[in-house]
Amino acid sequence: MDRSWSETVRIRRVVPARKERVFRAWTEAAQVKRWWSIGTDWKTSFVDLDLRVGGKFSVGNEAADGRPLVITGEFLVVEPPDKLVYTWTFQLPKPEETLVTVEFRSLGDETEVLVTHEHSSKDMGPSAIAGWNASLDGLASLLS
Amino acid sequence: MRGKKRGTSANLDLVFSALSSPTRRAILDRLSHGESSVSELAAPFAMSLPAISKHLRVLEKAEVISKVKDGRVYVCRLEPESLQWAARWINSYGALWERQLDSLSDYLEKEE
Repeated sequence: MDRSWSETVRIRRVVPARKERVFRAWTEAAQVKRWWSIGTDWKTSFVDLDLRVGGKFSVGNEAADGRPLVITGEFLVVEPPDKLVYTWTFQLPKPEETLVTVEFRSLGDETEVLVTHEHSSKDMGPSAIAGWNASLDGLASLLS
Repeated sequence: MRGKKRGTSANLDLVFSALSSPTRRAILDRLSHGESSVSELAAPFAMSLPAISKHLRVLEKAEVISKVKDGRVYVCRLEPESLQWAARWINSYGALWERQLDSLSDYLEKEE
């Protein structure tokens, strides 16, 4: 992809399972549906994914007030059980395509998961999905 | 009292720590309806004035409130900008992945 990304988020986490199992949890639709959570007030309504290079995925999310939000993407790199690269787009009025790289590193019975999320705009994505303008009300309900 | 520059990681530390107390959240809630003197703020709490002042200093240092002298009393006012930075962080991809990985960890532990 010949795009430049001005914003990069890196998150690292050790999760309590072997690498192969973590990779399956990340890539089998039925499992994804069970842990996927974009926020405490959101439900996951469906997960479709076609795990191969060029394969597409879509994840349906539903806010507590019924507002739907679909995330779509395409797998660019699929290297089980080590690495995934996929595009990620919130289906919003002005969708912005972003890039997610996930690496799984074995630590024996545990696995280190590294997520790199590259995007080009500070104000799109999660801040847009919540649909509120960083208000104190919103913050209070997120923190309570 | 000046804290850390707004929106920086150090300021976010102060903001989230300031928000980690029910008393301070109640004070912010009260101030979101308008400015208020220190004694007015203290009234609903079974707490001494110095104890309330200590909470106010934490909020001031995080720059989520400001305190100005108006005649003989101090008046506190909400400074929403630091909270907006905190909200922006909560709504960032970083926070989203923190939540996702929390949830994945819980799932993997449960299913073990």
